[in-house]
Order: sequence, then structure tokens, then C-alpha cells
Amino acid sequence: MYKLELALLLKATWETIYIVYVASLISVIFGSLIGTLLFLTREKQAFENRWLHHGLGLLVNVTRSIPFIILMISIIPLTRLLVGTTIGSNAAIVPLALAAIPFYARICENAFAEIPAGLIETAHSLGVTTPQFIFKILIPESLPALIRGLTLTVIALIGYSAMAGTVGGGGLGELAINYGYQRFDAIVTLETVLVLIFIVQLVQFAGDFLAKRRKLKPLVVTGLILGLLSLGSQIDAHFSSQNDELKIGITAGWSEEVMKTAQKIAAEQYQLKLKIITFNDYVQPNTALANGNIDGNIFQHLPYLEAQNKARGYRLAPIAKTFVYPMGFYSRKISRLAELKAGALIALPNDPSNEGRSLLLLQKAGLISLQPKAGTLATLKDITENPQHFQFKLLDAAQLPRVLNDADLVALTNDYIGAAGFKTNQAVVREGADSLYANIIVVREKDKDNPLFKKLVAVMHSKAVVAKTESLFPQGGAIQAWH
Amino acid sequence: MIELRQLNKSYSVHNREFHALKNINLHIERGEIYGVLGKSGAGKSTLLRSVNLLERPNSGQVWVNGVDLTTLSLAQLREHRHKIGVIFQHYNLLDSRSVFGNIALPLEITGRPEPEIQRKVTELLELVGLSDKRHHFPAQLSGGQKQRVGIARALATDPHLLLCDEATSSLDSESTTAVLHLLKKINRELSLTVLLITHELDVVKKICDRVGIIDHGQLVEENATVTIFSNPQTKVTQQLIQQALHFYVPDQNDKDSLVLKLTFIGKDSDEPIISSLVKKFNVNFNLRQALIEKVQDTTVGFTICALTGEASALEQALAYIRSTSIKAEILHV
Repeated sequence: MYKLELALLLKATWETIYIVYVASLISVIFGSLIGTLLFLTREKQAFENRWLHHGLGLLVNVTRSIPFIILMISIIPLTRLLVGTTIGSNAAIVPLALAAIPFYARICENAFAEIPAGLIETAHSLGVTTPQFIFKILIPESLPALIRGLTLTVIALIGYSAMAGTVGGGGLGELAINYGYQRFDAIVTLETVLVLIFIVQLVQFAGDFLAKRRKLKPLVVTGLILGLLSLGSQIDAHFSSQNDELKIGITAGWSEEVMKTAQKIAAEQYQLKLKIITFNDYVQPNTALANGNIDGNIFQHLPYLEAQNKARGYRLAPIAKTFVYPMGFYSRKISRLAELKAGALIALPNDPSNEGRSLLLLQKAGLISLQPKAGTLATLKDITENPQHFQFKLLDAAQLPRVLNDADLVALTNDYIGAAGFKTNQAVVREGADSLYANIIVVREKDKDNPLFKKLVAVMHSKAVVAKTESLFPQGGAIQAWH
Repeated sequence: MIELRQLNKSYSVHNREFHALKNINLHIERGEIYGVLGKSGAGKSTLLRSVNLLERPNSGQVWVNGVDLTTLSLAQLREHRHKIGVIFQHYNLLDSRSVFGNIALPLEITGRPEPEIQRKVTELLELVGLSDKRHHFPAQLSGGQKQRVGIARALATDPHLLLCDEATSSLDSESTTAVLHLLKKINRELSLTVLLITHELDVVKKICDRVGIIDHGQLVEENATVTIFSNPQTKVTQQLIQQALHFYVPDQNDKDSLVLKLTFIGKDSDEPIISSLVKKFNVNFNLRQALIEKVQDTTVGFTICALTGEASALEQALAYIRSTSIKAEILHV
């Protein structure tokens, strides 16, 4: 379990409440407008109009027939137009409201239709105008049904909001999907489901209570309180990066020691408070950053970030490079590249990312040529020229140090150099400061120009942090990538 | 007060024309309580609803208080509807409003200021005897109480006309009496014109000054209530009255006897006519049925009796009866 769990759960709960609240509010406003119009254009009602009634009815039915997940994806351009993004809480509200408006419209129409014809006749015999009819008869008399319908709508929206999590809509759904479903974390899944059950029960209970009491006041009061709370959560999210504290995500291990130094420098020289959040894997630091749970992270290189942005739709951007922890080719048989014979055996890591990285390094050393299109994910198949007929062998990264006696040249990532009994400067070939694989400081795209991050960059490039890093990775194990 | 001229209304039901009202002409005086009596489906309801144009006739004029409502715009019609109170069989109160709120509704609709609403509703609650139920909701009231709220609501805007749509048909006899008593009181004290429709003869008998009988969309007979009771002209009316009074010709063997139906009106019933007959003409008298009805403030008595005796005596007796104001009808010789 990671430390952020409770904070994440609370944050996601608030996001869900915010999303559902705003979506419900919009649905109620537009839904009751359309529902009232649907009712008033019925036969024998004030605005009797067959064409308008059936046209509106058709529109409502069409919107209601579209499965939510499809509606959500098909209105992405509209969402972008309205809220400027398709990711996050506000973007989730657009499809949710659009799905719930016709739903609530029908609920209103049906609730109004339940009013006895005699009562409507009575109203007309009293000489009501249409606005009086709506506000003094229609709405008050169907209030219990309207409230019950609202309960139904809110609960449906809670369910849909979980589905919106699949496209980065935030909230409990996203938490359940990212941490529970995709990482097989049953506990997180269970927790989010329990919270959802609790919220649904609460809504149902409140709805039943209010419908029975026929009172609008508690509903309005509850609505206002919820509104303020969810607005508060938005403001909180908005301003959490505005005070002088930054939450920085890193991965567990040596980075923790570097960041201790960084914290000290930030506080002493830059009046910047750094809060370090440690993750145990490479997925969550980006998810947490995209969610706004942390403000930046320092653990990845650019090719990885780009792949994540693409796969998950994040809008995360690098603001500076830190160090290159160079991959290198090591050998027990030769000490210089010139000694490498034609037909030599070269061992490479077999995971796609490091396979590409090692091939790119070989290309840079002039040993092979690669298909330019292949990029960072190049494989053995992308080799276009191999004039010295080297043989290649792909192996699990942890296996590579063990084949040093058999292969002529072995690619080792930073983590295994020590295990193989080498120092970085003993590499036959290795990456330099210009490597594509330099570690980077990553923030949300919209925060790129936040001056606090300029301070962070300065901290990470400070002499103390460099000294600390180089002490952990001596003899060229960490190369400053920003010069 | 009300004048309906050549009113026609027809619906198309399953592509078949149904005449709800045929050439209705009706005149109701100011301050009168006029009852329209008819079986269900006769067109009563359509007639009543034409008076405030809840139901728009196909042709004809609806004059209320000197204005032909059929010529008005919707906005003007709304103004006139404020001056026509309506009470309904099923009360049609708003469940969402208290007794006070229901009575206040027409006042809110006509935009009266709050203090006036308070004063007026308090006054009306007193009039209908529900001052202690001010904050109750319709669900907490009995049928009779609900209808009294309905009446108070109908009176809130000081209408000059009150339409009653089967106002007592859902009530028990005790509540019916109370509500009718209230209507009569309002009629007298506020000199309010009342048009009521009902299928209950009892209602008509108790409070109506005049009655119209409607059958198959036509006004077949119209007269003062006492006259309708004592001397119905059309078969429809006779049937209606007979059914309502449970007054049937007994199915008995009255061979060699003269069976008479005698109708006494007002003071007639005070006279000892039967004993006079027996004494004067030496006839025997067998009472088959007798009934005394109070029609408004007039007593109407019905008697069915069989007279036996000499033929000449019977003839003399009949002639004697006919010389009085008592109405005699020979049912069987």
C-alpha cells in the first residue's frame, strides 16, 4: 500500500461529488425546462402543439437511446468547445449532463402527467396564467415525484460518473479503474465501491425523506451545502499549487536520498517547501500528477512520458532535464570498440523500451543503422545495416550481467552496472549528456510557467543536489543533462 | 345572470359524432339557485363547463353578467373566470397546500396583497366553519370538510356566480345536508347566483328554486322545483322522480276498486281529506303508499290509495277530490 491512498480516496470522493453535483444541477435546470415544454405541448394543455411535442420527444428518445460510453466519446468535440479540455472533472460533467437532461425531462413530464386532470381544470377555472400554472400548480403538486425522480437521476449519474473515469473523468470511477482494475488492487476497488454504495444510500435516504416531507427548503439547503463543498474542493484543487509548497512524486530508492538534499536546499535557499511523495511503481506518479494529487514528478525520461501521455491522454510536460543515468555496453573481452571483431555476439535487454534504447546507442556508436521511423521503440527487425555481421541476443535485463563471459558486448542499464562488477567509466560505449533518456522534471502542462517550478529546477540543478547525486553514482554514473 | 343561447357541442368519439349538447337555451336569474338534473351521460357536466368555457361549445353564446364569454380573448376570459367560482365533486384541492394555502390560491392568482389574503381567508374559514383547520392539509380532512374548503376557495375572489359540479355526490348524507345548508346560506347572505348540476333529486329538492331536466343533450323540461315534483310533464322527469322517491304503484289485486294517486302541495296536506271522503261518500279506503316530501320550504305529499264502494259513490268522491286543489291521478279502475 502506498502512502497516498487515503488522500487519493478522499480527493476522488470529492471529485465524484463535484461532478455529480454540477451535472445534476445542469440536468435539473434543462431537464425541467424540456420536461415542462413536453408537458405543456401535450394535447389539451396550454401550448398544445403536436409537432413540437413529438419532435422534442424524438430528440429526448434519441439521446436516451445512445449508450453512455458512446455518447461520451462522440461528444468529445462539444466537450472541448465548452470546457476547453476532455480530461478531468469538468470534462466529465458535459457528457453526464447531456445524458441526464433527457432522462430528467421525461421524469418531469411523467410527474406532471400524474397530476389529476380535475386539478388542472380547477386551475384553469381559477383563471391562472401559464407561469402561475407552472409555479403554483404543476411543480408544487408533483414535487414528491420530482424529488423521487431527482434521486433516481443523481444515482444514475453516480453510476455514470464511475464510467466517465475510464476516459480520465476523475472521481472514484477513475480511482477504481486506474488503481483497482488496471493494477489488480482489490483493496482500492473495494474501497471505492464501498464509498459509492455509501453515497448512493445517502442520496436515496435523503431523497425519500424529502419526497415524503414535500419540502423544497431542505433540498435547496442540502443543494447549497453540497454546492459550496464541491466548489470548495475545486478551489482547493485550484489553489493547492499556489501556496509555496510543491508535492513531488518520485520512486522509492536512491531518489529519496537525493530529494532529502533537495528539500533542504529548497527550504534554505529558495523559501520553497517540497513535499516528497514516494511511489513504488512507474505508473502512479503520472496518474497522481494528472489527477492533481501531486504537483510534479521526477522519475522518468522523455520517451516514457510521451508514451504515457499518448496511452492515457495525460497533459503532462517536461520543464527541465536532470541527470542521464547512462546505459552502456560493457565487456570482459575487449576494452575499446576498435577491438570488436566482425560477427561478435552482442547481448541486449529484451523489454521493448530498453531494446530500443540499446539499439539507438549502437547506432550512435556507428555499429549499425536503424529504420528512422522506428524511433525509441526500435527492434532487431528495424536494423537496416549491420556491415560487420554482429549477432544479437535478447535477454532479460537481470540476466545480462550473467552472460558477460559468453557475449562480447553486453548492454547494462544503470541498475546492473554495480552488480556486474563494473564502474560506469569502464563502459566500452555509453550514453552522454545529450541522451534522449535523460531524467526530466514533469508537471501538468498548464503549470509549466508557474514560477515555483523555476525554483524547483534551480534546486535540482544546485551544487548540493549534483554533489549528492554524483556521490551516489560515482565515476560518471550520473551525467548532468542540462548543460 | 346567465344566459345560454343555442348552445351546441359535439365530440367525435371513435369517428362517430356524439352530441353532448343540443340547442340549449337557458336563462338563470340573479340570486337564483338553479339545478340541472339528469342521468349520467345526459350532458350536465358539459353544460356546466360551457358556462366558464372550460368546454368551448361548437356554436351558441354564453352570456354571463352581460358579457358573451365566447367573444373574449384568453386574457379577458381569465379575468372573467376570476368572478366565477367552481366547486367540484372530487374537491380538487391541492395536496401540496394547507387549508389556508388552498383558499389563498385564487387570491394569489389575482395578485392580492398579503394582508388582504390573510384577512380574506380568515373570514372565509369562519364562514365555512373551518377556522380550527387552518393549518391542516387536505389529506387530514373528511370529505365534507374538503368540500367546505372547496367552497371557501370558490368564494375567495367574491364571485357573482357559483358553479357546482356534483358537489355533494361523493359525500355521505350528513355532510351533504351540511354542504347544501352552507350553499343555501351563501346564496342568501351573499346573494350569489348558483348553478348546480346533479343526478340526485334530493339536492334539487333541498335547495333549488328552479330545475331543468336534461336528457340526451337536450333541456326537456324546466320549472319551479315544487312544480317539477308535483306535476312532472315529461316521461323522463316522471321516471327520475319516481326512481328517486321509490314511489311505485303497488302490484296488488285491486279488483273492483278505484286506485288513485293523490298529490298534495303545501297547505293541502293539512286538510283531513281522507276522513272527509270516508264520511261524506261512504266509501272504503285502503292506503297503499304514502310519502311526504319537503321541497325547499313547501311540503309535497303523495298518496296511493284504493277506494271501494258503490260506483256512484266512487264517482262523487272523485269529483269532490277534483274540486279541491289536490291533484288526483287515476291509476286503475
